[in-house]
Amino acid sequence: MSSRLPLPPLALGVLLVALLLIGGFAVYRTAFAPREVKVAVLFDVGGRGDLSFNDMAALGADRAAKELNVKVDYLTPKDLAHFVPLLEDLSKRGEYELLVLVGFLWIDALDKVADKYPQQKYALIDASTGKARANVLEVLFREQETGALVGVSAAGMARELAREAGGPIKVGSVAGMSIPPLWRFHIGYLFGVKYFEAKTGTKVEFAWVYTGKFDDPAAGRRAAETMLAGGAKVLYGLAGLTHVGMFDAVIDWNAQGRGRALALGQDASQEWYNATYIPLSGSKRVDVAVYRAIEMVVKGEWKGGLSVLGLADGGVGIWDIEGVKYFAQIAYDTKKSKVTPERVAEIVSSQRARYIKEDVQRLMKELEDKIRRGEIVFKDPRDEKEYDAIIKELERGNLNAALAKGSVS
Amino acid sequence: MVPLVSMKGITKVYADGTVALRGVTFELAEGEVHALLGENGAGKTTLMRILYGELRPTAGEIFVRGQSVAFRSPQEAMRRGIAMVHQNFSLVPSFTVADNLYLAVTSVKPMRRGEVEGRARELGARLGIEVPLEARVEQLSAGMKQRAEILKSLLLDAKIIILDEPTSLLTPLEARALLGLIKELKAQQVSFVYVTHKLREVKEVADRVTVLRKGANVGTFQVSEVSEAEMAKLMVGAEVERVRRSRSGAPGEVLLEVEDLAARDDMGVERLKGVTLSVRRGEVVGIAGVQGSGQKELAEILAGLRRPERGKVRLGGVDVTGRSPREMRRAGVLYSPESREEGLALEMSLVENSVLARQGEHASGVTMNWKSAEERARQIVERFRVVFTDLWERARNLSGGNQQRLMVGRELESEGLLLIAHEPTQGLDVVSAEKVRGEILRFRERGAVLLISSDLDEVLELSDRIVVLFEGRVVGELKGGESDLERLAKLMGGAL
Amino acid sequence: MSGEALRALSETALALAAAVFVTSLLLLLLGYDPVSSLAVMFTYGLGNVEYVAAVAAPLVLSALAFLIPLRAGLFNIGGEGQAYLGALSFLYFSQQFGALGLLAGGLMGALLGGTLGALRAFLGVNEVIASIMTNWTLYYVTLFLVSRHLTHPEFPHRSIDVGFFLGSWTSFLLALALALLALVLLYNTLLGYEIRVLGSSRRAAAYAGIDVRRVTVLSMSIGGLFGGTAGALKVMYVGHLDTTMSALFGVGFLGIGVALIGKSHPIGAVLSAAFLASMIIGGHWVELRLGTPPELTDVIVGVMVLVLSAPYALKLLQRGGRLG
Repeated sequence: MSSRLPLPPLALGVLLVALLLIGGFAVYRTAFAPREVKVAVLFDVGGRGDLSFNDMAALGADRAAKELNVKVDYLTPKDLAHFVPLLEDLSKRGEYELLVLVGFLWIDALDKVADKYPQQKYALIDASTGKARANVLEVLFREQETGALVGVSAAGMARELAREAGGPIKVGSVAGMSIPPLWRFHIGYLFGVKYFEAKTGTKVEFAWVYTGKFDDPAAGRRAAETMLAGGAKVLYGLAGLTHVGMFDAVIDWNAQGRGRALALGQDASQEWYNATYIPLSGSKRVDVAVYRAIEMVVKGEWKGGLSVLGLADGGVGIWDIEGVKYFAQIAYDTKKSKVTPERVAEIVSSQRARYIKEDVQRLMKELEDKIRRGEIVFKDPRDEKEYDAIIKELERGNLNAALAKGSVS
Repeated sequence: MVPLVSMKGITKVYADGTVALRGVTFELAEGEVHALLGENGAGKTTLMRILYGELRPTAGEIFVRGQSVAFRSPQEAMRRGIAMVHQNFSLVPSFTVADNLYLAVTSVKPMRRGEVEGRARELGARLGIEVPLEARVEQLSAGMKQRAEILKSLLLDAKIIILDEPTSLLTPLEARALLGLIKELKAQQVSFVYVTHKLREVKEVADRVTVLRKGANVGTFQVSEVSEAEMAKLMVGAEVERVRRSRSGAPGEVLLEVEDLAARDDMGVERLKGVTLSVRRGEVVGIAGVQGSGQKELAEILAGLRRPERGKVRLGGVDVTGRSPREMRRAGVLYSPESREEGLALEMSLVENSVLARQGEHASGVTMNWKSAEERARQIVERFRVVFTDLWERARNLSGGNQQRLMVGRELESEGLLLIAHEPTQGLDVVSAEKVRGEILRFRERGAVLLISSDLDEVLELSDRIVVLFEGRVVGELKGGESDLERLAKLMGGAL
Repeated sequence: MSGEALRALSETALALAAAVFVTSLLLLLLGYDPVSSLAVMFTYGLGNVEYVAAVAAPLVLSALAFLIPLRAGLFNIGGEGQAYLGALSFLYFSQQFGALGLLAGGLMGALLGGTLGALRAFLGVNEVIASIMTNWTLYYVTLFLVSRHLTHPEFPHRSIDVGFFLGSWTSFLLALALALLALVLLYNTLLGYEIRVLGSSRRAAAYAGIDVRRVTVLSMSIGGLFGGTAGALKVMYVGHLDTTMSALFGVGFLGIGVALIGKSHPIGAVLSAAFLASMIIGGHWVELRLGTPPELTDVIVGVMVLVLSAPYALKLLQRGGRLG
């Protein structure tokens, strides 16, 4: 029988054992190191390199490592199947004081694991399991607030571009997946545009598309080209790495003389990517969220539950010139950009002055103050149905449909 | 006088432990044709590949014109004036002859293409080697390819040409022409090593002969001083018992009837153009013809592997035209094809090959019955003396002769009425070939045999009748035994 | 032990040594410490055996999806699409029928594989091209269904939960059982015999009176059955599908590597799946422990697969895909 069936390569098994022995040393070397506060940041499958969301999280952790003297390790799971076992393994080992989970893909894994390890602290960034736990901090953002400010400015820019080059006054957005944070962006962005319409009496066309992806620049480019061909003047990127393709589409659109258009970034300041055509980015301070979570652990101020960061907390907003410079510096240092931060700041300032006229600035300020003072608070759709309903009302010009508190006229 | 080539104490042990040569000494004199005679596996080709730089000896020394050499590649051998023409040729099929010559020449020394072609033409004309330089190699006949190879060797200024089984793929007429060319070149001071296992060719062309047996030199002789029988005895190490055919009595009833059969080959070329023949019980009917005369298509139709365009096949009076291979086999047809790649699954074991085409008989329900398959394999390897290390080793690991014995043996071991044997003894040594021939003759008692072979001696010796095919038609029928080679060769060439 | 097995063993040992060497060289070139990288990879990779079993189980099956048709001389690049379809079917049918959903996943995969086989057998459509096209079609079909029809009511980025669940060990045992079944199929059944004859030589198959079309369709169907089950097991382990498709994407392609490293033998596939699974798992820890970019793990795994399977894949190519 043995000669009949050519036996399988038992070699693999033998070698695995050998390698296990070799590897054993490495564990002993690392396992009993002196104790310090250790934090692990777990990205979603996209990982770093998106120039926005994930990179921002890393930025916050890096800052914490430096300023709070914390050891930070990073981990990027290969695919969804690894989320639960990795989280479980890390929790079981208990060597990290805090596990920072970046993004909504961690919701299920956290839900399954968190209750089993009450001693392990978790911080879930930009997502919520919908359950309050003492060992889990969930940080959400009021994307509506940054979206609204960007919306007003985008409408203003589109008006100037239409004045200079003709064509319709039209704004659009290349979005990622239809998930709650994006719903909130959509509501805010559309609110801002309609606010502009209501205040200036200038009609603005609006386009919104979900590409379904956060990591596909090619898809972002295709979506952007369709919108540009449809007359859109300003495109807002809300799709992580995907909207880098949108940036490229807008840059080429101008460079090839096919029309005039601008792009707007989100999360990190992305102006450095091309300061001339990306004059503004909305901020979503994932870095702040990560930093604060780590800080709570280091300073012994841990408190589980939900934390929502808005304009008033410095969690969202629009990047000022200092922020633009800061990211331009990083891009310059890491050789992602050849333009000096000073030059980027200079171009951005002049472009903003050119496309965001005084009346628009006034409108933005007015809206920002209302939000900061808590005079108006945006609605937070619980499900897709409610979200759709709000969007429908907004499209009709019913601004107050998006508000949970206060009103505008 | 210093011999042109002198190989001393050559030993070759392959990586797997096989000892191919055991201290062989071999000498080639200037201007001679030296035959290297031996059975398959005697080490002839190994010895010559060592001389040609394709293999390195495990031990031993080689001298060319008295100088010690150790070739690391054929290129180095070529620079010393040694060329080798392999049995299966080494030309690029999709290139023209001129392309091939250019490719070969420039691998040894730089030369312009025009110059290569000019010299090829001049040499060809002087020596009467006609090869169409602009024709693509794949369109050439085997004889033409061989001429192209020899021309290539001469262009490389070869003074020593090794011919490995040069007539194995040639028609009788082409073979005759080759022997003429060798004599011509010998007059031009080219020396030849003529590797063969055919005694008649040795007698015809060689000056001296060295006989190898099981990797050892068993003697070098002047050809004029040694008889064919003596050579055969040396080669095999024993007296060869020639098959004595006993004429069978009157043949029985008609077993196979083929009527007006026409068919095309895979490329769509019409190969059979209306062939009619019949085979009676108790008969061996030989099919002779140059390659491509339609014998392959005929065999395939009878085995159910090819559909005829028109015509009828009747077996025992029943119309079996167009039946599947399985149905043909059930009707009693046994088929040993020309190609071992077809008749064997070479990546599979001896046991698995022993039941090929009758796998259903060795299965109970959906599962294979390996016990009965092994039983059968054992019968075949014992009766046909297949040399193997393990019944479950791949058939590809067997030598060509053993593969052939396995394939033919499997068919002869099976129940059947009509045996179609296509080149049944190719690659077999003399003893094995005689054994197979004997079994074929014995098969007449069970039914009848259709023998297709390019070995005309074999056809003449075994057949009761010989049907000659030429370009897809029957051009003549001869009685076996009484016919002579001369007449058969003429018919095969289309001369009526 | 037979010579054949001994040869396979030494070949694999040699290939593994070569793979470690090439990987180390690459790591050194990129400026990483190869000793600690590989040490971390292998130690942590084997640190949690249950995890290895869970990751290996679908890989065993997607390797079988490639392996069975390969033994018949067919290149089933469609394991990927079969896994998508199997995962979708399992997700859908397990809601009502529980464990039977696994069967549904396998059967849908078989249907797809069989269709590709039939296209090849009856219309002469190259199975590789047809496979690649169906792979992408099904990728987008799955994405569409996950985001539109099988969507979770609360979390729109993902599908509803599966309706049936097996533990890691049970999944692995299931995969192992199917691998043994594949072993028996190949070496102890008439169909397996016919598959291997066809894979050895099409001419020999015709000579042996084997119905080449039937065997083509059947071997592709069986491959599809395994491919579909691979997808079902994967989605079962994760519990749902999501719009990144990361749980499924690549499971079929990785199976090709697993099959090649395992020398197209079902038991070899089990061992190499476990090996690759532990590498993938360990790779996460290399990033965590040594701060290397996550892409480095992909490079290491990729190089390992390449070097380990190269000798065998080359031999396969030289033989024109002929296997016994």
